[in-house]
Amino acid sequence: MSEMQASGSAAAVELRGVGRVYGSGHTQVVALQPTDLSVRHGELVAVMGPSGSGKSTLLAIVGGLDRPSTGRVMVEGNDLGGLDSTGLALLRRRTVGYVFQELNLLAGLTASENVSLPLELEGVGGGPARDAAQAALSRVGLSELGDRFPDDLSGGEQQRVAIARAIVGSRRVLLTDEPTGALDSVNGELVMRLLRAHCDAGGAGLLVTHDAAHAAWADRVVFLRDGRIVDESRPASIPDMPEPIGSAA
Amino acid sequence: MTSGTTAVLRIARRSLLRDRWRALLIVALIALPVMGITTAALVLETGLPNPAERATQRMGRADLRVTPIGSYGRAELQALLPAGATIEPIWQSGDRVVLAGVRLGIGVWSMDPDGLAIGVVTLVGGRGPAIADEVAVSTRLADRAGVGIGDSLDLEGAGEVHVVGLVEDPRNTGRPLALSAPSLAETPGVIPEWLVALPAGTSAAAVAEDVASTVDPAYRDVGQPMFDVVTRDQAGAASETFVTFIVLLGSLALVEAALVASAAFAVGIRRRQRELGLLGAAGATPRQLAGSVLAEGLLAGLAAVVAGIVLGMLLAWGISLRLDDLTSQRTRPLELDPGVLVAAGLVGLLAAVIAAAVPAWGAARLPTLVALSGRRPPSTPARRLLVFGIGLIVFATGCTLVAPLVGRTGDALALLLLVVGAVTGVLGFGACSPWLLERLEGIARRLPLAPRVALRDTARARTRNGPIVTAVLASVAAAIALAAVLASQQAHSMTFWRPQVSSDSMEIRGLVPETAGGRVARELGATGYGPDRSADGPDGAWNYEVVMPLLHPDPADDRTDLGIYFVIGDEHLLLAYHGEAALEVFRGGATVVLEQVSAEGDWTVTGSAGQVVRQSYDESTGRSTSTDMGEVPVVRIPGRGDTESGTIAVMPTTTAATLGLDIDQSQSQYLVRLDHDVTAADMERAGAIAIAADPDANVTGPLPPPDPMLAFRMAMLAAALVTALVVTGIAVALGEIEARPDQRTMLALGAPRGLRRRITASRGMVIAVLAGLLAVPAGLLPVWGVLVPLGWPMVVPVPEVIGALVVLPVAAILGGLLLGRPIPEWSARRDELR
Amino acid sequence: MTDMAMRYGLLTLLAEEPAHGYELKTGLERAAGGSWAINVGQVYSTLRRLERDGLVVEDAATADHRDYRITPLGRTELDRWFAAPYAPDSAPRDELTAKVLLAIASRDVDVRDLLQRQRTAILSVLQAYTRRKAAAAADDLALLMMLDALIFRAEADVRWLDACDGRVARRAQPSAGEVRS
Repeated sequence: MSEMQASGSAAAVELRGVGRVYGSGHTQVVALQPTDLSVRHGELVAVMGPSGSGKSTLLAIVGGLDRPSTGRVMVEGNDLGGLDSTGLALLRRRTVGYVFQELNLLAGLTASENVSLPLELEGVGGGPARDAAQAALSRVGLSELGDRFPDDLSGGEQQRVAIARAIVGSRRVLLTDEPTGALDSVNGELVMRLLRAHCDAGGAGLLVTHDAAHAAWADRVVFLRDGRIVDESRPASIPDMPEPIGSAA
Repeated sequence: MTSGTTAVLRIARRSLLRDRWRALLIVALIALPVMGITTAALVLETGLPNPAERATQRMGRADLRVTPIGSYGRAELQALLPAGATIEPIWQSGDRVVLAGVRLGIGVWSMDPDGLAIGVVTLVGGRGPAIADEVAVSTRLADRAGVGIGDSLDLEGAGEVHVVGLVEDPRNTGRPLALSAPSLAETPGVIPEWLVALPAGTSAAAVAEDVASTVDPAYRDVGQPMFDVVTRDQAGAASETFVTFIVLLGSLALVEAALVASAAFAVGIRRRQRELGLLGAAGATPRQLAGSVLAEGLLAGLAAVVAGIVLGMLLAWGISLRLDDLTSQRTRPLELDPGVLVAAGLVGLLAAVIAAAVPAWGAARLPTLVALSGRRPPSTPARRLLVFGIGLIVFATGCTLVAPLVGRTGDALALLLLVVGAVTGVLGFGACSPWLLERLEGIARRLPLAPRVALRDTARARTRNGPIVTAVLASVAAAIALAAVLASQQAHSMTFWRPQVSSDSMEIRGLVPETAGGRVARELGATGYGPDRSADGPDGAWNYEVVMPLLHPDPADDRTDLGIYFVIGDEHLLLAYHGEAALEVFRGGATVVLEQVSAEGDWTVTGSAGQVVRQSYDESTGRSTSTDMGEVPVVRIPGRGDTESGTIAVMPTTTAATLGLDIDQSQSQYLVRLDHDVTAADMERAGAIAIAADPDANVTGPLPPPDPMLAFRMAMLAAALVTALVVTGIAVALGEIEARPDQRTMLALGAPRGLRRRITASRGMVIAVLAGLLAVPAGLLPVWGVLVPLGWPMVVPVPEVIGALVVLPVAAILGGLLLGRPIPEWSARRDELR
Repeated sequence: MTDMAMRYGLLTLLAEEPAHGYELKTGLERAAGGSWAINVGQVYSTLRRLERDGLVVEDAATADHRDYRITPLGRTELDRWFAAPYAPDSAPRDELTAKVLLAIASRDVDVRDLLQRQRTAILSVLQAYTRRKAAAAADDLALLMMLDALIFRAEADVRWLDACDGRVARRAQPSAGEVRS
């Protein structure tokens, strides 16, 4: 795994002039205009925009699911343009973790097996894989539910299992596509707290959402419109922000 | 029609149209057996002679066909018939013709093709033979002999004859046949049968009764009649075996189709679950929900029935064009029997409704809230199904055990019991499959990823996979059951079989065994002996035996002597038969008896001399006579090595010449000895070499003869495996449809693209292993029920069991690997992965 | 803090137990999740008005400071206030709404840019609230609920901006036909 790691790059994800065009001729659709974007370790970046604005395309390109028409993508120091489809699969297995809005889990595998799946695909033995899965499930607060099947978990629990799977082992880049879309606000916040904690612990996160309250968990919010980044927001400094009372935090 | 019904039908129609591939699958599943039944029934109805045709083939346009039991002829018969009855002779005998050095057996018939016998034989060219040296030949004989009308042909018995016409046996157009003048049937020494036409107004049955009950005055004491009589009605009566077979296969095919279609409906329900929930929330009653599924079945059934019948008629029409060539029979043009079409249609509709019934029940039971949640509804408790299944198995065993008691196989009730027993047995074992899947799920934890996912998916969808497993096991179980019956029958018939020659030898018989045997010996690098003559006359008209006093311990056995079959040859033959011990006396002219303990008991022969007797048999009178040919010295030694063919004697050629035995030079054999024990491969090679040298040759070895039904069994096994694999493939495809959302996850996790193929293959494996395991008891149990009362040995048909346990799973795995698709590429535009 | 909130906040605290002015100030701050800056003078003027209306009385039992106590009339008034649901005003009159509506009317303003600027600004604030929320103790319910209130209102503004954006985009391309949700 060490050869996959970057030697000197500070950014976990680095996009330079990345664009994506589907089709050609008069059926051509520009999904993403040439775009620059970088996500550092410890940073959670949200991408907001209406449907069809190119945000899912952006995420698919960073995850190596889709290839850009133009530009260069670096993930943890790996130039994705230099990887064949096997290399991209290895990247997803070892370096980046994906969480979708729903249907993240294989119904035929227990929660624990779902979490250890990337390790199992890597050929990690049953014992160590189980231990790693258990550790990841503990991080999302589900250490008791490892033997349950997805059908026996609530929607929020399923998403947390999916996050555990996306961060199991030593993967640090977390890509999430509307991970809270199918959840109520309490469960949604729980999921966002997990993403936040992952990034605060040195991971890098890219979150695609159209929900402002969830995007607000990010360090930066990037706005996409018609395949182009139109603006970016960082936390405001509000002088009369209430201070915590009765707590030392 | 109430508005509720209209709505239900509209929903059903839309549901079918929306998911076209699944709808097409359901329609195809039901249409195929309907097509099969339609085709089979139409073709059989056309291809199999009906009673009138059978009667015509047997007796032309005569009212009676009379066979003399003694040597009575025209005058005696005419006396028994009412005035005005006309009679014509019909004589069906044989002769030989030597073509290209090979003697070919042909049929020689004498009858008037334009008279009463019209239909027994059909004149297709030239004219009928009128005088003794004229014949009309069949196309086959004309082709083989290279002759036509106006040419001559040399028959061994009848000498040179002139071909004046072309005829055909409508029952077997491929038969080499020579039709001679009807007058030949009434030449001295020939005792023909008779065709009788009665005057109008006479009852054929009454006349038949009169003639058949007239006792032969020479055998008045035993009451033997002079003639045997067959009426048209009797000649037209058919055997029902074929119909039985069709009924069995047809019912099995329908059960099969209904089961698989049921699974396809179940998948539809699962995909439509939310819609059903919305309908329920909107106030649809459970009956309406079930109704919409049943209506879907009915609509699919209607479409399938129409398609199946139309395709079946087309296929039957196509087959009917080639039917004469395929069956070597003259058949009628195709008739579209409306009864057949209606029956096939009803049966297809029934299968569709039955297939939709269980999912419909499930849809009615599905709580609206569960339906709306999109979660998989709870499966029927497997344990309850297990108990139900075991109950069915017990019932099935009861049916098959009782079946032989109520009547012999072929009786309607016995047949019904067997069919019910076999079908319920299969369903019973199938009902156990969900429970087994549940058990198997326990070991999933320890399996590699692909089989683990496949097993868990299959187990979770056990409500759907139960019928699928049942359908797969049904086809394999049918092959196992059929094979077990045939193998047991064969084993039963082989109970008394013993090898004819020693374990290192083969015997080649034929018209010119020297050529065939010599070539076999040469090509196999073996030692050849012969030719040796069997002590027989031509066509078994007579044979010789060495008769010796018989010693036996059984006081109930009242035989005093034993006629021993012998072979005439030189000392090589004796040596080949392991008769070294008697070589000296054999050279001195003594006949050597190679004595064996008989299967009949521990009897043996005694004495040092035997009487050579000629047994001749007069075919026309049915009487045999013995002629004493003289006494020969005999030496008895223990029999031929490891053979158990019974006692046989070897007579020196010189002795036979001295006695002046009239030996058929064509009836000879050639012995080949190898330096090792004969294997099946040796036999096969020898057979091929011998046939190439002499088409009439056959090879006898120390190995049991091949099972004559083996080829049929293999064909049935292949058909069953193909059916099983197709059904397994359908189940796998249905599983894949359900697992479609998993592909995106696999892709995002960086799973190797081939993982999906391995999961596909594993899905096939799970179904195939389970069905194969269950098919063995499901196939053997009803057979056991049939065989035990018959007292036949129960033989486990090894190839079929291997087919079920090994070939089926392996083929399913390979099929999955070959046909399975890899994880698809990412597609953001068309969201295929959801 | 509005007068209304102050009035009933004091009544709520006094319904628990009698208290003097400074206790009431800190109590109010705690109850409001620390989001409201409380002026102690405002506390006293409100208390005097409550006393005038007969809803509280000054308790002179202790010499060094004066405790206030709720009257039965005060309790009735407090129960009535809690029981009556709050209904938002029928016409929004805030500055954001006004700015967007006026921008539509103006030819010189690019409405979509304005909408995006507003969105970014609100998001920045939302991010600040959320940071605060992430740092808050899990048992500090008052603070969390207070932040939730701020966040959901800001989120509602963003959703309104999104909806405006959609309408403006549709007006810009009338041939686009279907609405993209």
